[in-house]
Amino acid sequence: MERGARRERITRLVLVLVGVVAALIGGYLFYYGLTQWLDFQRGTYLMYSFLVLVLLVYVFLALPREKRIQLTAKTVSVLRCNQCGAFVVREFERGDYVFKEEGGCRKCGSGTCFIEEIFETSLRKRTPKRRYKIFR
Amino acid sequence: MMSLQFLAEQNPTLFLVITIMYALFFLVFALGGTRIQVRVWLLQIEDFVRQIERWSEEGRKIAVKAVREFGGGDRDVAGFVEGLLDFVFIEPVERDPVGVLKRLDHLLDVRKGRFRGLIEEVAPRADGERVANLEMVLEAASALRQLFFILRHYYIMSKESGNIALVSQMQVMLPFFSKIASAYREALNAFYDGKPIGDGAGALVASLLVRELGEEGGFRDFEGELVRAEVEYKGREIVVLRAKGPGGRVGKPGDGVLRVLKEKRGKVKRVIMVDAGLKFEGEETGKVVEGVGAAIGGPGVDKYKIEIGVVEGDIAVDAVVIKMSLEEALTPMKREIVRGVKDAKERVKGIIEKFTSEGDAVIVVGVGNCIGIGN
Ligand SMILES: [Zn+2]
Repeated sequence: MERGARRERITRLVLVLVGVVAALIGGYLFYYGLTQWLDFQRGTYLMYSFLVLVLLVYVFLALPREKRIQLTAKTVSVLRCNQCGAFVVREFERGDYVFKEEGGCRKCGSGTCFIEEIFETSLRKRTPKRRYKIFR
Repeated sequence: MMSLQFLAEQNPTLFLVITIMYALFFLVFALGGTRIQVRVWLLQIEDFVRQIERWSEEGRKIAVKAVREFGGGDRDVAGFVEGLLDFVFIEPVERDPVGVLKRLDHLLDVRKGRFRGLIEEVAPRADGERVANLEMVLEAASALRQLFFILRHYYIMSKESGNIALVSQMQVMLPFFSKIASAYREALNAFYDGKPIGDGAGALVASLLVRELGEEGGFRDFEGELVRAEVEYKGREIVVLRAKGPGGRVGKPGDGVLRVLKEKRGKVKRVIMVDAGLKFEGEETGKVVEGVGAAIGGPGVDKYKIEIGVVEGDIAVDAVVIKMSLEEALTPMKREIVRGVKDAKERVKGIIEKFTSEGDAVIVVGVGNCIGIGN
């Protein structure tokens, strides 16, 4: 990947420069169109500035963005006593597994706690649409 | 055009500039449109490939860390792991299909033995369960690495060709590759922690069934990295098979079923297979469906053995499938799947009640990776 890395960086820089130049020209034309000319000329300048704007949007859309990974899930272990049925939900710890014995029950004192379930829960509701937005 | 005429008279220079800009704009997009598009797509692909490279590197580091935890002495763990990640498996020739599954089975056994041997050598302080988990970590890291190699290969190929058709093909596939890659990445972390994954649903059904019908810890070691338990349900003799946990194993259910069939010659009336199955996008996770057939994935060796076994004995095969996506199968078990597991257990009991009579023997196979699921 190193071979093309420099050229890619240059391509990206050129794209940004084109965008900046286009933005300057567009801004100037927009200002000109709004202030300097009679009504029927404004349309022309606004049209040009609009074209430049389109180019600008295109260039900035072309710049790829980093995909951010967010922690949206958490794994929990559910411990249940085999005597009284009391249960505790806690965060998953390394070494946990389903049906693992986890010592005596604190509530009744006579039973043994087992890990009954281990599962993942979402911390936040993920909107399914966003996941396809990565590549537009 | 009135305005342009007016502009030309008032400010010829500006008129010229604008005209040239307009012409250039048109020329660039009309003649170079596809090239620009290719460039943009290549940038997107490159970013993606770089991300997969980072993930693959991250995977390698996790694998090294995992092995180091059980490493002994002054071994070059990093170099060793590198070798394991690039370990190749050459599939048997299929042009002469006679006995191809037997050959595949044998080669897979050899691979497993070799892989395990290497892990035991580099991580001497790991017990059987840890070795099984390390194996899964290395498999996932290796898969991520292979994916990166393949993607980089096609990226370079399509870039060198500069052909819009080639580049676009890769670009449209990116969301799918992204899904697969992130599934492997999450799987790697789950394996490292030893969390149960969605694929273990079948095995969990087997365990819950034994716990409900028999006594706890009713499983004992059986061949092919399996465990076996015998319970009774409404006068039927039920043999339950699953891979040995809580290490990351899938076992060889094909061998297990064949051996039980041989043992209970003619007595077995049904084989019920419980497995995680791929859902279609939009389908509900954890939905349980019933059907007919040997519900087992993998390279097809176990499926073949079970099919041969049931055809010879004229035995019915039922499938109970817990639906999930590929991501969900490889990542920590979701709550919906745990719910599906309980539902599937009831379905299995239903099938036994409905389709067998007292005195029959039934084999229930809980298929899947047992990581994080004790016996
Ligand atoms: Zn208790």
